[in-house]
Amino acid sequence: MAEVTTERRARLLDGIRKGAVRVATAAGGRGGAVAILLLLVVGFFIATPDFLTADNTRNVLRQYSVPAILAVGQTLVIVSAGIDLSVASTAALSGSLMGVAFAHWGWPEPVAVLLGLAAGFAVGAFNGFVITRLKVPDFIATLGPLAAVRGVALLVTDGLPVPDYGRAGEGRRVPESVATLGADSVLGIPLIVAVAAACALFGWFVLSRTKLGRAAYAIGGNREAARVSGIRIERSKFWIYVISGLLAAVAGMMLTGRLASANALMADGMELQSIAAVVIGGTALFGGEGGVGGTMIGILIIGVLANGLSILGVAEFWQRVVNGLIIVAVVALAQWRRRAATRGSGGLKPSPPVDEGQDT
Amino acid sequence: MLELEGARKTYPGVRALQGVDLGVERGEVHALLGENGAGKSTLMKVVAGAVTPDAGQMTVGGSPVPLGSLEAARASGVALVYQDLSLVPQLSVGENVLLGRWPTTRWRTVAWEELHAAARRHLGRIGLDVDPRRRVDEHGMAERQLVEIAKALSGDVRVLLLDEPTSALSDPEARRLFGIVRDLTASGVAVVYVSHRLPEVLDIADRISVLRDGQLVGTVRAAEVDEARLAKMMVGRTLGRGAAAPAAPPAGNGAPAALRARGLARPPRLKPVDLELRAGEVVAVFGLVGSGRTRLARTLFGLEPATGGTLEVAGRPVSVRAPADAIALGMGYLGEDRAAGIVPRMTLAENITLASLPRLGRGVLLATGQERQLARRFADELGIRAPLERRAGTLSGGNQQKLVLARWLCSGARVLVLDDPTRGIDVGAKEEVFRLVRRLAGDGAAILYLTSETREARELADRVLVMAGGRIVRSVDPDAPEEELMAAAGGVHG
Repeated sequence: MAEVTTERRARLLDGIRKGAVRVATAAGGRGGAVAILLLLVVGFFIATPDFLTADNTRNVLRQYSVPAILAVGQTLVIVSAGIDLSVASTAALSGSLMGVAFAHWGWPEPVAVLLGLAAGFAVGAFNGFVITRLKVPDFIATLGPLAAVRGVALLVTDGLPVPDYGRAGEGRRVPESVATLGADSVLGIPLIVAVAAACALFGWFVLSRTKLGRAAYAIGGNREAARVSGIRIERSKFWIYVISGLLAAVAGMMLTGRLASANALMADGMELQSIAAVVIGGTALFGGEGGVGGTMIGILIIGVLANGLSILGVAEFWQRVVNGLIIVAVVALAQWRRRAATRGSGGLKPSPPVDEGQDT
Repeated sequence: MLELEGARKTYPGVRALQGVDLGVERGEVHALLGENGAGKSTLMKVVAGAVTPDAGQMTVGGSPVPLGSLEAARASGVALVYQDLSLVPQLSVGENVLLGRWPTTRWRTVAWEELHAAARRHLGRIGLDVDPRRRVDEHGMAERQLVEIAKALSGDVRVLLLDEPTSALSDPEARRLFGIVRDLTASGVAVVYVSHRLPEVLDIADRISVLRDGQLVGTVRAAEVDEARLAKMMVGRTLGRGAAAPAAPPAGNGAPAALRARGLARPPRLKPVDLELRAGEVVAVFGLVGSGRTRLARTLFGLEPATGGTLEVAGRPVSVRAPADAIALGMGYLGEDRAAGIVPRMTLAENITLASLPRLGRGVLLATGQERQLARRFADELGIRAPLERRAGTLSGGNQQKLVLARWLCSGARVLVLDDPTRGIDVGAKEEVFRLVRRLAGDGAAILYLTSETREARELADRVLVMAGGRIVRSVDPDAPEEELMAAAGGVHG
């Protein structure tokens, strides 16, 4: 795609405006997120010519591929009324372990990659075990690993980047396949974006086409009814956390490939980004509804916002403030839309608490 | 005392109230009747200020009350006792009775002695002897319902709205409630009483207003109507009497029992129980609240695994540690808590197939095409006419129960444990559940029907087992007089 000319900009702008109006009037929580994403895109498009360029678009997609992969796993977990705070630490551990095994211990590439995946599996299985067998609430059970797993990553790497280019000399770097997927492009599409898309597709498939996905919705929607219907709640939750751990491992190795280096402190704070993306995408934190599609819109909102603001020269500190506020704003908007939908036309009037009983 | 005029309320796609007038006099019991979806609950919530109507006016004791404000309604003396209990289970009975109005000391801490004394006074007013310091969740449904009424009456109440107050109560408890209602009306309180149970409405009400499809069909004096007339007003057609007595119980022709329990126990609430259930048979278990009836149902289905005794399904000794085990053995369960049965945000189709996932597609995959077919088939079989893509939470209570039954037909259940399946659903839906139970038995299913209503036990069952104090105390012929059942159930009770 070439640079967009002024005239094409004007035409595009008009089309987007019409589309945005249509989407904004569509009902449903995801419609709201899509509308906001379009508004942001249009807004930045008007504000600066540097925003809607092929390069910058690629840039945003590449940068937010890793949190997107984490958010896929997070969607599965949250749909089943859980939460996984350990995903970012797990990503760091997987990337670091793979890097150390390959660069320092001299393991063959496939084995190093398998070790990274195994680390993700292990953390997911540990979370699942603590939650389903030791009956520790999901939040606490994954809050522990949020700190502990990062600690293990620091131990493994000695707190140093891997490989240490300063010292390693001509030693090995990151595995070739990981570096390719993380940093190269084919036909103008960054491979890391393709990996994220594949993960999203995988998450969508699990949620909508497998028994585990159906169980996740049932557990999140009404745990007691799920139990009475013979759904093995413990077993299902265990595997959901394992999948989340494995996706975190993929994310961590992709990040290592993109940076051409692993370190124990990478992906810092991304667990919150992944949760925010899920919630912005219309998945209720109580579980039982939502899906990967909404989450991907959510991650794009976060990415476009951060990117647009930095192009406009907004200082990093302010970006954090705006980023935080936008999460609250989007969810507040979704709530308002839901209320408006329940009470029919004209939802602008101030009103008493939501009444959902229309039965009897 | 209470005058409501032209109440109108529309939800998306549902005209819940289409201009309803309601006049309630001082000291009367005014019953509201109607099928599920007729608009009874919406009307109650409008009067209580919990729902803002699109149009309408209300006066209480002659002075206008703004609609849509809980505070205004309460200040005018209107109190609503909700159908689904609105107590905070983790708080004590006393804290709940005075919720939001706890007395304080001058240090702004709670004055506990004063609170408990006041709570005891309010509980005593309806003759309820429970310790206000104990937590609500240590009490059964019946006691909670009465606590709820005590809470509603703790203010200055002129109009008391009772929404399905007896749905969780056994017969004697319901009678106790009627006594309380009569005392209240004698002291000048107006009571609006929503119920599905026609005999009870005729018994307690002075006047009866019937709603259908959001419109007032008419208001009649209770003394001037009978059940048939009311039923006709409610459904707009004459209801057939329930089918004749079920076919003769299958002879014990050597086939093993569909379900047999020996010394099944989960102390302290469930003492060792022996039970035998044959294919094609409906066995009722009659027991009052606290008799261990629900406990038995939950234990059989693995929700609260037994700690002693043995279980056989079709002659094979089995171990049921979880509902999934029971389902794999061809059992199904419908609990007394309707909300626990369905997943409200899932579609009807997804709810119907929920217990059949293991055989719905190979391995981990879900066969969605096959799922649609199955759901369609069993929805048709049970006469569920709503579109299958609709969310289950939008269905009326009766249809939700049918949905759960459809789930068990879909999973191929041959032994059904039904715990009070007609609780809180209207006469029309109730008759339909009866019909279904008979039909399922006719098709060879073995049905254990647990109930606290003598009429249901006698009308449906081939045999009636009476439970009290966590045991099966007697086996009674369904033709035996009602008094015999009650006597057996009450004998050991308490």
